[in-house]
Amino acid sequence: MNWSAFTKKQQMMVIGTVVLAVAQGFLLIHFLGGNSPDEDISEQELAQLEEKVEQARLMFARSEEIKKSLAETITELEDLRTYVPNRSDRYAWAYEYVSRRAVKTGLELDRVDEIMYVGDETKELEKQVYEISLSTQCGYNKLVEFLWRIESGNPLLRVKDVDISKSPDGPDQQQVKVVLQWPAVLKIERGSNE
Amino acid sequence: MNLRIDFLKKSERRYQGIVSTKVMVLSSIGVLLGTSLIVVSMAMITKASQAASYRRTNQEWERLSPLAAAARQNEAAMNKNQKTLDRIHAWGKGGSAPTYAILREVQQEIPDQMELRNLQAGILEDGADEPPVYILRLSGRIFGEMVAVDTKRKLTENEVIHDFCGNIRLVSSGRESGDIWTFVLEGRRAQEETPQ
Repeated sequence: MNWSAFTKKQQMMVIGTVVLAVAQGFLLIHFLGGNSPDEDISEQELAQLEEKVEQARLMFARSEEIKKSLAETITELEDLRTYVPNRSDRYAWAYEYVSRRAVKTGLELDRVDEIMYVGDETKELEKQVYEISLSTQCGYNKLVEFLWRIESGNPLLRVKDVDISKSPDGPDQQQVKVVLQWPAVLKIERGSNE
Repeated sequence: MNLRIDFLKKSERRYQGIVSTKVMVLSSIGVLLGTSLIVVSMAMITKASQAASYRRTNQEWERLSPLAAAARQNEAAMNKNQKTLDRIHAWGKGGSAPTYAILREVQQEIPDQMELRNLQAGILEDGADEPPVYILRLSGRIFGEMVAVDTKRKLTENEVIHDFCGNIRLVSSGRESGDIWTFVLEGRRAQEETPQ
């Protein structure tokens, strides 16, 4: 095809066609190729948002089951809380608990002391314990009965130490020192109010 | 010499073929414009649908997110409570029998030839990072050299005692006078350790 054979108007048309073809090429690349950074971000955002919605949907689907399990743990912990020494007057609470069982066993307590350790306050709340020590003189069988009474009466009580030594008063009597522990607090998480 | 004179103007020329160059050029422009229009409208539709989808997803997120956050909060609370319960159950008995049962079992295994001077049963807590150690320690006098060894064996074979403090070891033995011997028996087990 001879370029000079075209009239001026036809030449302009050909040039226009070429320009349009190039412009269309750019448009194709721009819209269909998806290489624009702005478009990348919005697509990415949409994908992230859809993922978040999906996760929220899954979590929401389990919400009733979670609520039920949470309620069960709260009930169980509230039942156990009655066995933790009352924070406002722990010594009196523990003293009463131990003394009543000592009387039932027919055992006389010589001393009941609260044990405090340096640095206890700095411990994590869950790791804090309340301790008392008690001393008495009694026979071995009475001690076993006394321990049975105090251990079976409180599921949170732990006998930290029992030290039985020979008493100078006779073979039927032993010098006994017992250290008892309870968790200092029982924290209950209640979750969301919604 | 041949002379060729062309009297036609350029616009008056005619070419062989179905369509003229002018028709070809105009139709190309038309096709290009048409396809460009289609591409642009497709792109605009895609954009609009993407925006609508984003709006819809965002509305769904705004509806679901507080509900999911509450469920997540409840789950965290439930896990914490469960952890507290597990800790309390492990703390209470440490997987072994209560102390009164241990003392009763010890009483049954002590032979007549043995006189106890001291008996200690309990939990040793040396450090915050160390697991508590369950300990049973007996000391006293025996009549007969082998009584302590026999008692050690009997105590170790006792399931309740073994679960509490593991194997019992004879840690000290000495002649006091004649056939009378002093002894120390001891068993220790860390809380995490499973009795064998």
